[in-house]
Amino acid sequence: MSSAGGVPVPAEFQQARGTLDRHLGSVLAGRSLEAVGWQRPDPLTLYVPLRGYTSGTPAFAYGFDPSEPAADGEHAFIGAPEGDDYLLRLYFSHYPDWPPSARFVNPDTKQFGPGDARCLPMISGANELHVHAAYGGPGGSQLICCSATLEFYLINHAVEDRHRWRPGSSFASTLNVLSRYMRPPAYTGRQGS
Amino acid sequence: MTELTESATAERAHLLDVTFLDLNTNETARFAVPGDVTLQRAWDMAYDELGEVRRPSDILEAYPSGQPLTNDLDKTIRHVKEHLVPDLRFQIHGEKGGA
Repeated sequence: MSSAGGVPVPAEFQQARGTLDRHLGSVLAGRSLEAVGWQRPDPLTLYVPLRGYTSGTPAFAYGFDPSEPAADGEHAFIGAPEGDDYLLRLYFSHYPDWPPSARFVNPDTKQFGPGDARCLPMISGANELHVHAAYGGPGGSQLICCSATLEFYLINHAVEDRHRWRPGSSFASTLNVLSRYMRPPAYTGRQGS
Repeated sequence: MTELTESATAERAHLLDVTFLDLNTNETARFAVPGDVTLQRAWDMAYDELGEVRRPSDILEAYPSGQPLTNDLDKTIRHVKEHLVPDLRFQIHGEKGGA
């Protein structure tokens, strides 16, 4: 199967919704959206709580272990270490030929604007991603610079072929690359106070 | 116990349970392999179980520590269990670009 190339093109609505429906089943490994604290306010949008861990842990940033079946009464982050809580908005307008749009938002406004730097994790020293509050300088937009986000391709960022999004991939890869770095040593706290 | 059942039991006793979590999809494959197969072979079998095709950027790691196993693919599963990953739980991590 080839990798995504060229300029991202929006998907047909039914295709994007149907694929997201299908992928949600495997990403959640049998859990409900409610059980893990996710919200789907419209067919193509997901809000996913993520935690940045400040102590060494193998815990997933989205608060459950996908390799284990859901337990009765399970809730996200049960038994997980303390940390800083964030809210990630995923939007699947180009899915699955292209990855979801991914942005951290203020949990109160569901937006990201001036003064919301504390809603962004500080991730350093990672080859796979970097979270910019304003890409390109003051006035720029937030960018999770990673080949598993749509914005990475919309800005036409340089990328090696082997790192390109492969059509048909699941947004699990987007969540898991973030999860990988939302723990020490890469994760060091919030970007703003 | 019949002779056939004894044979099946003996065969089963030589198998080791392995688990592969694909972080590209969050799908998990669980199956048993003889202890003398290589980690590379077990990894290949995991793709069959997952119904996936290996991606050029895929990396095999211990789960959940993320310890890379790229240099251990020629080791047998028995060796991996005894010296590297006692619970034989692995994760497939697709390398990304960015930063």
